[in-house]
Order: sequence, then C-alpha cells, then structure tokens
Amino acid sequence: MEDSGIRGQLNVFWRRFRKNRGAVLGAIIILITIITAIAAPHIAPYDPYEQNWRNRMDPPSSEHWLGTDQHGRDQLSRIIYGSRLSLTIGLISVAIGLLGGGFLGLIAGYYGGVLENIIMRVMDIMMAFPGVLLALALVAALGPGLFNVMIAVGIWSIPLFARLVRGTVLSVKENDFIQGARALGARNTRILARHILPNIVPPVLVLSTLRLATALLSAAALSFLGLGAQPPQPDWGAMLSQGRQHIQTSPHLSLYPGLAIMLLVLSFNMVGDGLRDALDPRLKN
Amino acid sequence: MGKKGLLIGCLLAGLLIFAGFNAAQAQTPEDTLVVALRADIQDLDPAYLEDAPTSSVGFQIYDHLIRRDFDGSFAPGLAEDWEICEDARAYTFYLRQGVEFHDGTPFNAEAVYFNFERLKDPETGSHAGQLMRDNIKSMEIIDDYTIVINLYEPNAAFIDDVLIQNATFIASPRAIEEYGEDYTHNPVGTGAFVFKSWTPDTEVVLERNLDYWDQAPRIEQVKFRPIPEAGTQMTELRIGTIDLVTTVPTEYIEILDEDEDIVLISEPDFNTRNLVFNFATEVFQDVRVRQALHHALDLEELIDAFLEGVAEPAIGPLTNESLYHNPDVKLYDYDPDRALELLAEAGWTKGNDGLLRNEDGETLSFTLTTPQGRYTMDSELNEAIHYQFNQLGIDVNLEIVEFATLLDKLDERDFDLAYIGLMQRTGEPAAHLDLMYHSTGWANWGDYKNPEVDSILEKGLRTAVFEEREEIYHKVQDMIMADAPSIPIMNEFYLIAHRANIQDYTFTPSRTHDYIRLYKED
Amino acid sequence: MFNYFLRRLIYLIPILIGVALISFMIMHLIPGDPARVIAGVGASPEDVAAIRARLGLDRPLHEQFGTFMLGLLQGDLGRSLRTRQPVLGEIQARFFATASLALFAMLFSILISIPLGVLAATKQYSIFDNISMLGAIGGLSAPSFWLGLMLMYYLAFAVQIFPPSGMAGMPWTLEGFKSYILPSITLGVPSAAMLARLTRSSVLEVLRQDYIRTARAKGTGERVVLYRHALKNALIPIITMAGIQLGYLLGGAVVVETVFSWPGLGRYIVSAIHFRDFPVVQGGVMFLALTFVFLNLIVDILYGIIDPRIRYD
Repeated sequence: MEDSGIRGQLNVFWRRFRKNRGAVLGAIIILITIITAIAAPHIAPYDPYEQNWRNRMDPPSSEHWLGTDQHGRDQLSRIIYGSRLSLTIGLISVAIGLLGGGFLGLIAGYYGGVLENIIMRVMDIMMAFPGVLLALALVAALGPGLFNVMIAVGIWSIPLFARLVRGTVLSVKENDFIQGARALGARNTRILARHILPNIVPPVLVLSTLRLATALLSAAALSFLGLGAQPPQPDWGAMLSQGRQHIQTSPHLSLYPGLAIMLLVLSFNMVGDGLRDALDPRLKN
Repeated sequence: MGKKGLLIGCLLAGLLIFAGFNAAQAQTPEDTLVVALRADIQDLDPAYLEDAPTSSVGFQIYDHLIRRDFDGSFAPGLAEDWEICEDARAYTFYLRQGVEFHDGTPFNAEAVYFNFERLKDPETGSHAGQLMRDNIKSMEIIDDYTIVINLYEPNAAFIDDVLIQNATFIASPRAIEEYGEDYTHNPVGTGAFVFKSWTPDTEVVLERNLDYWDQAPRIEQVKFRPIPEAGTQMTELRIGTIDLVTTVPTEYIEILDEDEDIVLISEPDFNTRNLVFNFATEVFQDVRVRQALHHALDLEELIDAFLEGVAEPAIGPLTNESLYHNPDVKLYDYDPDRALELLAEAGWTKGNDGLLRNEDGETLSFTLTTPQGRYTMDSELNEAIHYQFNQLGIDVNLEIVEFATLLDKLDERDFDLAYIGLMQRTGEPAAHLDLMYHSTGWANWGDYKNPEVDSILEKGLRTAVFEEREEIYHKVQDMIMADAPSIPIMNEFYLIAHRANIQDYTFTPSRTHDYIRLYKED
Repeated sequence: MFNYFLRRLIYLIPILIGVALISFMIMHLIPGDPARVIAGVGASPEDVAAIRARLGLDRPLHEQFGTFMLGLLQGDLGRSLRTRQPVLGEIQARFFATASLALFAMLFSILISIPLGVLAATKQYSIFDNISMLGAIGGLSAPSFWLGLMLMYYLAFAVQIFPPSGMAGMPWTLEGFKSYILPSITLGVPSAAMLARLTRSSVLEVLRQDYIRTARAKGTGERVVLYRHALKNALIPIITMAGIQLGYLLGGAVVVETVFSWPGLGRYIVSAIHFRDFPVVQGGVMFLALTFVFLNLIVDILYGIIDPRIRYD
C-alpha cells in the first residue's frame, strides 16, 4: 500500500519536473559532470599534472583543445579532473551544513523550550556574521587546503538548514496526525522517523541543491582572496583565480574554468528551481 | 505611457547617460605624478615603518643621514660627510647646515640624537629597537652639526645595517612630541616632498618641498593610490589614470613592451630568493641529499620559462649585484643523473613505483612550503620546482601558506624546505650572509651551523679595508655553497613601468624611488 | 509594537556578545603572530617580544578578551596593530564607502529587477520571460570577481567609459558617480537576479487572487489591474527581500571591493585577517554584524507598516 503511494508521488513529481525544460537540462549537465568525474582518467587526453615549461599558456589548438596553462599543462585535462574536486567541494560542504544544521533544527523544532532558544540564538549569531569573512577567517585558522575550505563553506550554511528544518518541524508538529500519534503514545523517535522526516525531505532537498551552487561560488571566492585549494590540484576556482592575472594576454586561462564553474552552478540552480516547483505545487506558477 | 513607452524611455535615458560618459577617462594632471601601491600605507612614524608601500612614501618625506647613490655607493644625505675610525668602533657625522624640517624645526645634532634615542628606548617598541640597542653604545653631540656614534663592537657594515633602515629616517622631534599617537597622520621630515593628506585605502598626497636642500622637485604633487589587484593596476596604467607602477606582474611584460605609451624598466636588484633547508628534518642532515636537490633543479630553464628578463639564476648565496660577490663560486649544475647518484650514495634508490626509498622502504619525502603573492611568481615557481623534484622520484608535498603563517612556521622551525626572500637594500655581504648563515643569525631558520663559517663571518665584520674584506667574503661564499644549507634560486630584478610622457625618472637599486628630477612632457 | 521593538533590541545583546566571542576566538586560533609580521623578516626575537608587549599580546587570552569587551562597552574598539590608530575611526572612514556602495547596488538591482520581473510575469512563458529568467539565473551563477574583471576589461579598458577602480569622490559628483557604476553592477547582479525572480513569482501569485479576477471581471483595464492592484500587493515580499539582501550586500562586498580597489570595510578586514590585525578584525566584524541585525530589525518593522495583517506580540 504505502509503497505504491510513494511510487505514485514520485510519478507525479517526475511528471512535473519533466515539464521544466531548464531543470531537465540542468540535470543532464550535472549527470554529464558526474560521468566525467568518474571516468576522468579515461576521457582526459593528457596527464593533468604533467608540466611542459616550453608550452606555457599556449592558446587553444588541435593538440590542446582548451590551450595550456601557466605550467604548460593541458587545460582540458585539468578541467576534466577538476570536475571531481568541484563535485566533492559541493557535496561535502553541503553535507556538513545539512547534517549540522538539520540535526540542530530538528532538535530545536521538536523539543522546543530552552534548548530551542539556545540553538536558535547561536544560529542568529552565525547568521549575523558577514559570510565570506567568516569563511575566510576559518580557512586562515584551519590552514588553506580543499578540506578546510569545505568545512568553512559548510559551517556557513548550517544556520540556513537549521532554520529551514526547525520551521518545517514546527509546522508539521501542529498537524492532527502528529497530535494523534502522540496521544496514542508513540515514541519520539518513531514520530520523528515516520512523520516528521518525510515532510522535511522536500524543502531540504531544494535548499541543498541551491546551496551546492552557492558552495562552488564561495569556494571560488576564497581562492580569489588567497585562501583556497592548494596547487597543483586542478580546482576550477583556483584555476580561474590564478588565470585572472593573464586576462589581457591569455584569456583562455580564466575563460574556460570560469565557464565550467558557471555552467555547473547554473545547472544546480535550475535543478533546484525545478525541484521546488515539482515538490511544492503551491509555488508552481 | 505604456510598457513600450516605458521601455523606450529607459533606453533613451541609458543612451543619454552613456553619451555623457563616453569621453576618455581623465588622464592624470600634468603637475601630478600618480603612483600605484599594492596595499595601503600603514604607519608613517619611522619607528614603526616597515612594509614596502609605506616605505616608498616614507622615502619621499624623510631623509637618511646617508643615502645610497645610483651606482650603489654611499652618498651624502643629511650628513655631508662622515668618518669611520680605524677599527670601525666609532662613526663621526658632519651634518648639513641650514636644513629645516617641513614644520620649520631646525635640523641639527640634537634632532639626530632625539630620533636615535627614541628608537633605542624599549618603551617606544620599535621593530628596530634591539638593532639600535645592540649596536649603539653612546652618542656624543660635539657641536650643533657634529655627532659621534660609539658602537659596542666594531662594525664595518654599520651604515648598511643601521643607517639605511626605514626606522632611521630622521623625523621632526617637535612634530613627534606634539602629535603623539596622531603623528602618523601628520608626519614631518626634511624630504623632497611634504605630507599633505592620507585618505585610507584611497590615496596619499604629497606636495613638493621648494626649499629642499638638494634641489626642488620639478613635479608639484605626488599621489599614491593603493590598488590591491595587479591586473587592475595594469589596466589603470594602460589607460593613463596612473603614471607609475613599481611592482609589475611578469605576466604583463609582453603586453607592456608592445604598448607605445608605456616604458618598461627592468634592472638587477639586491633581492635574493632561496629555498632554505631545515637541518632538523632528518633527511636534510645528509649533505649529499641537499646537494642532490641542487642538481635536480634546472634553474636556468626555470627562470627562463617563468621569469625571462626579470630575474637571473642565483650564483651562490650572496646577491649577484654585491661588490663582494664571488662570480667563480662553485655551483651545482642541473644534472639529474648526478642527483640520483648522490641520493644512491645517501641510501635512496628507486623502487618499482618510481619513488626513491631507503633500506627500510621509506620514501624520500618532505614538504615544500611557499608563500603566495608575496614575491614575484612565488607559488607558480614552486609548483614547477615541486614538479621537478617529483619527477626525480621524490615524494614532495607542496604547501602554500599566507606570509604571516610562513613567518610563524620559520620561527617555530615547523618546515622542511621553505621558499623565502630577503629584501636587501644594499649589497653589503655582512647584512646578508650573517643573517642567513651565521649560527646565531636571525634569518638562519634552518639552524645551519658551521663554526668555521661563523668565525670567518665575524672576521669580515671587523675588517674595514675593501681588499681584505673581499677576500674574506669570496672565501665564505665558497664554504657556504659546499655545505649547501640552502638553494639560492635567483636574483630578482626591478620591474617598473611608467607612462611614456614621464621624463628623467631615476631610481636606485634598492626599491627607493627618486621623484625629484622627473617631469611630464606635454 | 514598542514592546516588540524593545524585546528585539534586548535580543541583540547576546547575539553581539556571541559575535564578539567567536571573532575573538577565531582570530587567536589563527597561526601567525602579528608582532612577528610587524617586525618583518630578519627581526630578532627580542624585537618581536618588545612589540608583543607593546601591543598587549603577551597577556592571557581571557584578559585580552575582557579588555576588548570593556572597551566595547565604552565604544572603544582598541587600536589597530598596523597603524596604531583607533579602530573605530578607521572603520568610520571606510563604512561610508561600503554602505553607499551597497545602497547603489541595491538601487541598481531594484531598477533592473522589478521592471524585468513584472514584464516577465505579464508575458509568462513568452520568449522574453524565458530569456530574462535564464539571464537572472545566470546572474546568480557567475563568480563575482570574474564578472567584475570582465566588466572592467570591457567598460573601462576596451571602451573607456568608466574608471577602472577606486572611489573617485562622493556619489553626487559626476566623477564620483561614474566610479560607483561598475562596482555597484558587479555587487548588485546576484541581488537583481534574485529580486527579478521573486517579482515575477509574486506578481503571478497576486494575479491569480480572487480580487484581481473580480477587478478584471468588472472590466477594469489590464494596466490598472497590473499597476494599481497587483504590483502594490506583490511589493511586500519584494521589499522584505530587498532589505535582507541589503544586509548581505554590506557583508558580501569583500570580493568586489578587492577587485575595484574600493576603500571599503570588507577589503580592510580581509587585509587585517592576512596581517593578523586582531582588533581591526574583531571591531570590523562586530560593526558589520551590528549593521546586519539592525537592518533586519528595520525590515521587520517596515514589514508591519506595509502589511497591517502582521501583528507584533
């Protein structure tokens, strides 16, 4: 019974999502990026770390489709390998925000009282912090490097998830069926798992997708401010940030990593929109 | 007005605005020189003046007792003449007469005494305090224009070590006492330009001092604008909204060369860049490993590829531009085979995976630490060096840190191999070699110890006769190179670009810029 | 309403103490000693110790935090380690640049986004709608420093319409105004994109409401329906969003200020972080946080004035 109910819901969701051409396109681009990341060693024409100082900053050619970088490395191969880093940055930093914020929001919303007050005040404090500066200071404290960037960007989105989850829990909690379950003496964990979590999933899914987009942009901004991924890793943000010095002489150094970031961020944004429309019919125009 | 009307209205308004703007950007005025700085200035009080941007402003406002001339030798500054007594234990300075600070305070021996005593005072907390206390035993005012400085130890390099530092700019005693902690917004010196205003992160404005003792500057005003992004500086220079850039990114050399409105100057400088070995790192305690890493690096090719025309490979530990430089110092040529041989002797042989391993199967691994954006192409160069070490089968980890973190790591000895530059204003060998290679040197971060090197360096400091000193320092360069406590990478050049209408621009090879003679052509 | 305001104000106190504590902790966790940076390469340990003592950095952490908080109560944020000037003065000197830039960016995004959103909504699913909404989502997706550098390259270098960087004067002078344009666009694009999307969806939502249908049924002209009824009601969420965005613009101007050498607070704090200038980072972050929470408070109150359905209790 229940199984077919979920399947039915998924069907409805898929029919709505499919109608949004932008979202479908975004999903396809993300899928391609994931495949590229997995198959990078098989697709990339060159070793992304192999330097050739005599061919520094060559413009695109039939040999190097996207040209070579400051160390004479094949830029296409670096962008292909870079998709792994970009997806990792996005996923891990959102996971940090989601797990941290989701947990806090769940507790705050469900148990309420002093605990809720404390948690939400701490979230207010984190929200009041100017975003990029918090991330920048955190990376300076933890030391540069991809993992620390992910932590800094992730912490930044904790309060957003906490607020969203708490709000959803509060509205669900008032529903009759929860009150009913409570009256019947269901345990808290059971209520949480059976009734509240399923209702949190849709909005959290939407926010996560949109935060994936923001995470990539934030990581790139940190690279620009001098505290990002460590070379020689082929991180798009770092490539773009280093390439900006050559914007007048070798624009291909910043153009392609920039386009790569923009395309992936755009896809996450479009999929996020599509998810929201499909999951929440009230917002559907 | 319908939607279409609204749209058309918007377009019209937009066009009008653009038309109003579509004049070329205002060029810099003819009577003003606009100079780009990499960061805002910090503190114009000489006692706390340390960083490069502030120092380039300080040089216009203040004078030293002695200045460095265009050929690198000493020239009279506020002291017209000076005498060094035989054993270099006392210096007598004969001061220029009739010089006034910008606030009208007369310059005399009292003023020199005041400035130096203030630096020595621990209460002042100057970064040069210890330097002054270590060197200066006492000062005697003979008359208004004669002062004798007595040293604790003979120091033939006293002028370089102490008198040409930022801290020893001579400031007006009256202004320092009058303004107290606000002095930095009201700095008063004797220099060619008078401080006018400082708008944080926007501009510092100086006006010419018509009574300057040397000669009155031709340009009326100098404006310094802090612009952190190198690319933005270049854009401004090329469209003519700034006149002079003193730190040109190498990426722009080609473009500036082709630009008829720009003159690009590159000249050798005293600055050296080194990779310093930490002797606490076990693998580096074997001299053969250190020598092998020398052989593993193709410096010629590296500099040629990344810094063509703006740096030259270092020849030994002392800056190539020093009068005491030993051109015949024994170097380690690029020779990967020889490197592998040396490493094999030291017990490191290639395993099946291409990595060098010792008998216990451990890989030869260490961390290469470099700052980013501090020195020309620092992180790019080290990415290339990292690659070259890796190619040899060494397991190197590249670590790019902020400059503040690097200094911390050096002090804590928390590094294996670190890339660091020494900004040198002069080619004085004691100032450079003592710091980096004497066992008590402040900049001997790797804790390199060779008693023979120590004693010969100390001898050099006590010797005032040029020929004797030259022999001493030539020898010590050979000794240091044989021990290989660091890999001297390169001597960096100046790289300056200015608008073509600027005439008679002069500078000394110590990053000090002289704006007295220059003028703008119509 | 007054009670509500007062309670919100009291709420701010723990938030600000929290912000102070966190910024203090982070700064002191960062490796790197400001005294060391000030002393420079080649300074002796004694010099560094002397500088540390002069700056009060040799005292225990809780004591330093106590001093900081005490000063804060008296409106004294301490002195910058780099310039030895009072931090508050340094912040004031830069706050105008940041705040006015944020306002200009907001102005720009409102001017662009509201007409765009309204037009897109009235022509739902048209080519115009699709293109402008794709453009909006694109605006949300470009790294802002990249956008800034591109704008500078094309509009200040290739065609020399605007000055490439710096704040050339007050925004009411022509030179000053021109220098505001590129940074405001760069800073405002993401907000514009967000507002355009919001405008479109709220206008669409309002257009579906019963009273609009009634108005239409009564034969009211389409333009009157749109401007008199729909837009007015759709404005409420837009204004809220704009207020919140303004807060983010203040804190998020860091990157744009660096690209355009803007003499603002964000760039100042970034350089202070690199330099380990603790008092400036603490003071600057406090100041921005304070502005942010106050802005949110004002938005809440405005919200109540515009929409009488909201009750404060």
